[in-house]
Amino acid sequence: MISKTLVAASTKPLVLTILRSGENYGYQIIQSVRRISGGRLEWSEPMLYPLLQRMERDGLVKSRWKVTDKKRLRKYYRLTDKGVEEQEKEKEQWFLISRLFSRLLENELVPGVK
Amino acid sequence: MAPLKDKDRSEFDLERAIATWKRSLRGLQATQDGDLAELEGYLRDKIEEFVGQGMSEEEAFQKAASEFARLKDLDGEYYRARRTSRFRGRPSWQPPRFMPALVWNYSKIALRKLRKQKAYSFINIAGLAIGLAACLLILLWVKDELSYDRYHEKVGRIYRVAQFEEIGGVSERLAVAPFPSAPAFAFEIPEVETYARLLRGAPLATVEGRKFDLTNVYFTDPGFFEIFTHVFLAGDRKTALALPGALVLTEDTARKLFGRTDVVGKTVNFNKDYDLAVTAVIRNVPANSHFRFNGLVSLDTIAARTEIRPVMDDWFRITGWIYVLLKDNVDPAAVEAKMAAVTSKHVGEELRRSGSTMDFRLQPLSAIHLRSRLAGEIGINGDIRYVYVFSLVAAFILVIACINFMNLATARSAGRGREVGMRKVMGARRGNLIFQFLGESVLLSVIASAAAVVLVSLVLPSFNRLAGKGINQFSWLGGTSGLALAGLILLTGVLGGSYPALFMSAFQPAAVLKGNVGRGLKRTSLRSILVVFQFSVSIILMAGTFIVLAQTRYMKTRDLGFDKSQVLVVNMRDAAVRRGAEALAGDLKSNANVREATLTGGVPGRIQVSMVVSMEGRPERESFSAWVIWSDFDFVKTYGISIVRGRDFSRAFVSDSGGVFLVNETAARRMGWGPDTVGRKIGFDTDDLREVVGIMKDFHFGSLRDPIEPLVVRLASAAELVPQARFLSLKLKEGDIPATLAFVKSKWAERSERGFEYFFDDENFDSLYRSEERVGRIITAFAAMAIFVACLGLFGLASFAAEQRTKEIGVRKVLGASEAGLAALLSKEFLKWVLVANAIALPAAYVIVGRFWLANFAYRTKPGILIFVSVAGLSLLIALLTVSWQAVRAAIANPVDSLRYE
Repeated sequence: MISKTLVAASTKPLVLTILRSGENYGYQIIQSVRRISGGRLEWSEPMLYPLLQRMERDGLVKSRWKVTDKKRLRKYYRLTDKGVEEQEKEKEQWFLISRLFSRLLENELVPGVK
Repeated sequence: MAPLKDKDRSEFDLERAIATWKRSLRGLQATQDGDLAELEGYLRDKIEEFVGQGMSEEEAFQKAASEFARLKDLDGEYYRARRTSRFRGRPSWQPPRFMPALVWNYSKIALRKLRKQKAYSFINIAGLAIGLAACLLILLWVKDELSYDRYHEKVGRIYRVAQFEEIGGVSERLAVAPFPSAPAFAFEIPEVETYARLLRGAPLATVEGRKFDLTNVYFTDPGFFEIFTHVFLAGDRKTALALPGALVLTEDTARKLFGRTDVVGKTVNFNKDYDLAVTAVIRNVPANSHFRFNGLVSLDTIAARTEIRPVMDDWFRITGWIYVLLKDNVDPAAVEAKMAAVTSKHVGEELRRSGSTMDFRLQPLSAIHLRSRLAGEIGINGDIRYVYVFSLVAAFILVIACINFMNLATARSAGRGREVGMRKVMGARRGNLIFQFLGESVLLSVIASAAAVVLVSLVLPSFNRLAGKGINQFSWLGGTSGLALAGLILLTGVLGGSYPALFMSAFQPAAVLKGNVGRGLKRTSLRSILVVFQFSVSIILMAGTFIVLAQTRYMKTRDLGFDKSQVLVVNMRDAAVRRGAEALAGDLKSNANVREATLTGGVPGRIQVSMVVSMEGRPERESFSAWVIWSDFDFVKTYGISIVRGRDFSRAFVSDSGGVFLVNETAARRMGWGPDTVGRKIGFDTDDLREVVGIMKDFHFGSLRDPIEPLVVRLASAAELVPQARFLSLKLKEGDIPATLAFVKSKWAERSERGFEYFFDDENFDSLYRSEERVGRIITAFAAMAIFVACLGLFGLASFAAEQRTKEIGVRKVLGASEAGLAALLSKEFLKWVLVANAIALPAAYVIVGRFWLANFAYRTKPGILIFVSVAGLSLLIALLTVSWQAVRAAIANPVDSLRYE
């Protein structure tokens, strides 16, 4: 399980990254995360919707309604230019942290080796 | 498909379920239609997913919907997502999770109240500030009193040896003890680790040809620094007093003698007699010590001298103090028992023969300053009872200030009834309101205490002077005082705010909002009781002040039975002068302004010698102890003492010059010879009895605290006068005292290298009552503060009452009431309570001060009716002045103003 704070911190960058590969809607985003994480990242799923709304307010995503073949309404989200920028920024930061951890852990696992 | 539909209805209808679910979401405020559609889409996708996994529609719906169980949280998330402000608060419809957000509102309201009601706020804060300041000052004083001698590291193991003796049925409790007992105790009682004997001296010091009069120099044992903790600036603690000829100086004395402190190894000559080497310089003795010294000399330096030898060896000579250090975990009572055994071993035989007893007690060092009241104390001690009394006064002043606060806040609460009502209607619980009002009062008390701290800093120097203390201007806020202050602030805030908080939070919102605010307030009973209490305390303090002042005045002005005015007393501290004393006296009498002159060993107000008097033809156990004055022929004449039987000493009787006695009436009664006293023989030694030639009328030669004790005046031969004549008393004519003084001083300077030291006997007597005067001054100051604070409160209440009754006054005025009548009407109510307070407080003051405090004095003033009448009058006058200001203002106001809106 991933801790609550980490989930909270990583949700936005994850959503940004998923949207980077194209327009998507809430349910699908949740499915992607679950699939990629192998079910280990558990979101309180409905919580995604307010987040998407906030991102829209912040100008990171744009949304539009589509009617599906089953005559159902779906709200699709895609990144804005600002959202792409934000995603790049976030990516850098997460890579940095990730590299940091890898190095630290290498040293920890093989003591004495620089 | 009809049957299927029926089946669906009886089982599960997904659409209906979703519709119900949507309705439940619609109740949420943040969730808008678009959101609902989006969430519905999600729910449907979920259900499809679950059905795809093989669940029934119903199961799938239940499972998918259960994710919305924490709807409220979701709602909050939407709220936050939509807020445009960067301030991410809690949605207003959700109950507080941790800190009530209303705190902000509370502080706003509190500050607004402060601003809008300036006079009320000022009275409240000033009253509290003054009360707190008084309280703080007293606490500082108490703390200082309690800190005496506690700076010694071994304080718990240090004891003073006090001597309780009984001679001829008269018991004496002495702070002094015979010197040979100390080594005896130390060698024979293993629990005694070490001892230090102290012999006081006031030597003439010579350093490099310059001469200095030193006071409070003690000759002591090497154990001194093992017992007491002092800070060494130079020299070694262990060896400082080890050898004869060693001298330890305090910082100030070293500066006085040498101008600097690195003087170890330097030589100081004492009394142009013997040289001492400075072995150490220590920090000045802290002010909170029960005795302070300027220098210490190894006692061995003088122990072998002929005049000191008896002091060192004789168990019946007591001239100095003994301190002992006990080993760890030793019961002093057990040591006292062993001391009795040692005493009996050394002097048991002599004690039995004379039928007297000699008991030694151990006084804990830390108890000496406040609890020891023995004869021959080493310094002037404090009194634990004053610590208690002043602490009580501090508590009372604080309570008065708190009552003010409560009274004013409660009275003002009418104006806040609506606020309370609104808050309650809006869902405030009683706890919230109590929290709000307590918070407000704590805020006020914090402001007040800031003012109090400033106030204390400002008046501390004057307070130090008043109380004879040296409390540090800057350090008093630190440590425990700071903590005490914080505690006091909180206590005051909570204490002062508790009643208004409870009272106001109990308002019924319906009643208050309808406008029946004042209903509960008309009943003034509790506030009246509080006013009565306040004034009772103030009046007790005021009456106490009057009585203390009256007693001090009484003691200073009472006819003492002799004439102490215009008596100049010269301290004959130079043996060289004493040898030519009679010539000096004759010389001085040549001055027309000097009427009489007498050489004596003690003067009224300063008699230090007491001896055991044996009587002719009586067994030794009937001997009694009496104060002794060695004197020349002129003592009675100089001091204007009357002789009731027999005659004064006279040069005409040749037999007198061999040494005869005058006794006072008390001594004569003690001897029990009745009218035949004159002619009988008494003496300090059974082998050397002398005739009593006259009886002096009793006169007060000591403090009026104590009853008159037996006194004998012994005519000293010329040879005896040389060691005994410590004082030369000169009775002066009214007139040019400074010129006479200059004349006496010049005659002294012709004969002595030591400084001229003198005092006037009446001033000397006044100084006996210095502690009473000091107490009087402190009590006066605090009584004034208490009254002032109480008046502030009364003023506030009066203005509130006047304001509340504005309309009533307007109507009365319109109907023809006179202004004087209205003012009286408004004042009457308050004065009534002050009268009640007087009725309670005056008898209480009479009992407390009149009985308990005055009982300390053998001769005391009777607190007359006049004192109580004037206290009552004064309190009424002060209250009247306070109240009438508001009353008159309300009475002369134009009724048009108050009735315009009716």
